Amino acid sequence: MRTEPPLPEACADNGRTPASEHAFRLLCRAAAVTVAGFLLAVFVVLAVNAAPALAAFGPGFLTTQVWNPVTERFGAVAPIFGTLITSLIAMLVGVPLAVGSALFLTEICPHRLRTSLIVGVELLAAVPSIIYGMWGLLVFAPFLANHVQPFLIDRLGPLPLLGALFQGPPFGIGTLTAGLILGLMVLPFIASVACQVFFAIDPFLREAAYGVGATTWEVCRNVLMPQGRAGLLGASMLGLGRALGETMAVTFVIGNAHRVSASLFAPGTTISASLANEFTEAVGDLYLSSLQALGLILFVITFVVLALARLMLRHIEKGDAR
Amino acid sequence: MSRTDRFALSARRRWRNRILMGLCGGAAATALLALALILWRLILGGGAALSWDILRLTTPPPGSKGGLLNPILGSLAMSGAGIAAAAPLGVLAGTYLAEYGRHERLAHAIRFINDILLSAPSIIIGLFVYSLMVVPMGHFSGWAGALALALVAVPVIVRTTEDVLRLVPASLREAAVALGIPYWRFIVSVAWRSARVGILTGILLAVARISGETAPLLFTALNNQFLSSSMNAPTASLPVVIFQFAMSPYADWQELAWAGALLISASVLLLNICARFLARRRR
Amino acid sequence: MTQPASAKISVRNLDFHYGANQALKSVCIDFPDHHVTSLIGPSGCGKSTLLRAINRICDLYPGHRTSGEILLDGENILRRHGDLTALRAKVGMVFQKPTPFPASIYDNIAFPVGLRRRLRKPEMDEVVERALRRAALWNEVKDKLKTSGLSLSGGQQQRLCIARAIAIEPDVLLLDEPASALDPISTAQIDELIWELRTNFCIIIVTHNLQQAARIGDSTAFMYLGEMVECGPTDAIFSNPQEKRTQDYITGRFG
Repeated sequence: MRTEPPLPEACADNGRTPASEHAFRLLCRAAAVTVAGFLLAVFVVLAVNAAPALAAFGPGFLTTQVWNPVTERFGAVAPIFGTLITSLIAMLVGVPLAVGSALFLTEICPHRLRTSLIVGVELLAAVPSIIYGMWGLLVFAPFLANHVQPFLIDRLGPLPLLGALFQGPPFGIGTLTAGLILGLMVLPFIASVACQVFFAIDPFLREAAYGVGATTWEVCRNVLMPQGRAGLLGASMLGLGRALGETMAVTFVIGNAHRVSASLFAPGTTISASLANEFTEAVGDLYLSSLQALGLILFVITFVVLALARLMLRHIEKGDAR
Repeated sequence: MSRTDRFALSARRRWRNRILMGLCGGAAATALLALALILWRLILGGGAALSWDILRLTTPPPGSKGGLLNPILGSLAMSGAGIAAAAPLGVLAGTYLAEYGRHERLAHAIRFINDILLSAPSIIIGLFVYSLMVVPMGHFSGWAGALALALVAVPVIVRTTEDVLRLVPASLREAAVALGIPYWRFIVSVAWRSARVGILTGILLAVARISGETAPLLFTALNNQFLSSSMNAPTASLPVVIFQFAMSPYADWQELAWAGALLISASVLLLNICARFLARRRR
Repeated sequence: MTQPASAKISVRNLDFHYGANQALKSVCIDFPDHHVTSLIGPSGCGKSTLLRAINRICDLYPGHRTSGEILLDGENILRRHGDLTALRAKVGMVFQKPTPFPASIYDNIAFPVGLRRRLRKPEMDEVVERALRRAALWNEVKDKLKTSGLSLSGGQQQRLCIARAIAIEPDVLLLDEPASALDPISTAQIDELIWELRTNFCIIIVTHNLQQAARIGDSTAFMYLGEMVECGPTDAIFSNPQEKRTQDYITGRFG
């Protein structure tokens, strides 16, 4: 028996899902599909715009080095080469420093310093890339030109084979400088992901290894690195994806010369630097189309690298470092 | 052999440990030193050039006095418009991934694509918006810049929104549904509400991300020497002006570039610190 | 105590599959109105699954299959498609852990009520007060209705959840171990509350605590490995169980 009268039902109980529920679900799903659609749209737009250039030059676009707006002959070898070589240098510099720093920060660093240093590294990863580029141009390049490059040209230049990498006048700007700046830029980024990778490793494994008398290095070498291998690789690939597509840090210091040189001191170009330097000033449909074709190539390369990175990092996000 | 010897580290192991861990420390020191040098030069160069004129005057021709008023306002306007467009889209998409899409295959694909967009080269976004807006309109404009920035911001917001909504406990969802609350009302009034600080953090991080972006603006907003009241015209932005001025041979332009760089870095770092502070308070 | 004639809820041959597991095997039981029925049994025996099937809360998760019938006032609720909010408003549920919404005490109650009925402020105030009074919480919170529901103690939060559930005037109240996360004093308060609420609702409570079942249940049902082993008046189940498994369980030989 009810002590109080039942309240009247204001809602119709007809078993149909109300329109508001459908509408909101549809709205959310539409938003998500739109976001995913951007990627497809970017690809389609680039492909359509690149088509005239790819049709005019055929596969030769990927194998010729000429880049001549006057005769309207364009080939992508120099920017592709430059993109790959600067990213390679960036990885050679950035990855060991980042992993070393991450090991230091997670394993050796005193607890009191650790948190603030890691936060510092994460904040540095957020510094806009234009700052790195500007510093590279105004500070780092002159320093290299005056103090480092003459020395390297003197000492390493005469060597057989290896010497070819260190030829030419010490401009300061060039492939090596761009690679080093890129390396510096991706360093905090890779280091902060690497720290997460090491923190994600089950602490029992670490304790067990110390428990049988392993030294810190042996723990790092035999437990942390193998356990975190996929995560570290994923972090590096993410860094690589950034380095490949980075515009501002490179454009300042690469020199924008469409040619392939063996020497690391020679000016070169990358895909993104070519776009940044030439796109707004390009005249002629074929010129514009060739630049968009460069964009398409960059898009495809970074897509593959980033997709691989995400696949490798997927395990970490599920809480398993392997 | 005495007992203690049996348990002592061999000299080789001890030295290898010392050398290699020393190298790790060296790597950290090198990295932090290099980055400290950059920040130091930034503060030195930017600090010397800062003055109230920066906020009062527009960008000058070489050789005369000027400030950064037009790029500052341009950056604020384009970032503001960009985030205003990106935030609702990103929050709704993130909500789909975290709530409606939990058991759908479509959500996996979209999450994967969003993660790729998150680190896709921003200059490609610039190219895309150029074809999408600048070519049909026939001129560069602040609106095109805002759209490009919005496209950079959306994946950041989607990702953080999904992450924080996933932290809303399942028990809360069950409790709401068991009361006969329609699912969408649960999302709006309970899930968003309990995750609002986290969602706000994500939006702040997105603002930080786009306020330093240069590449997407090069082909969309371009630049403008003058103060323009219309976003329909080419619009100056701090990063693009820094790019132009730092590359120039004029010392006074370079000085303004340092000042702009300091302003941008300081605001980006401040936004990040705010986001962190909010994130910590949430716990 | 004899079985009252009117069964509010009738479960008939209910099978519940979750993936490859069968969580409920051909369960049959009647839940009378104005009556407290306790469901007891070891962990994983299907008590909570049965409760969650009655509210269709299990529909939140894919991959389950049901067959059989759950009759609520004669209507098979397993056949309902589309909108379940009306059903769920009719069948209230309170969970093991208190789940106040991140909102004020007042809004915790007013929000679900407001979704179903347009009320002016004084009317809503009245509904909130009545619900809190019935949940024996009013005197503790009447001066701080605007503070967050999360600021209350665990026992108070749980009574707030009960107030929230009864504010929308359901017919049935499902309680899934409502006191297991609480201290003994709060547990006693909750027990007393349930005892008083039985005059208005058909109450089904899942509990691990045999004393609680003996104290508050008019009837008790013992489940084991997805089967309904035995059900009947609480005195009979505890003093003279018909099945060996029931006897083993209530004398603590397993579970």
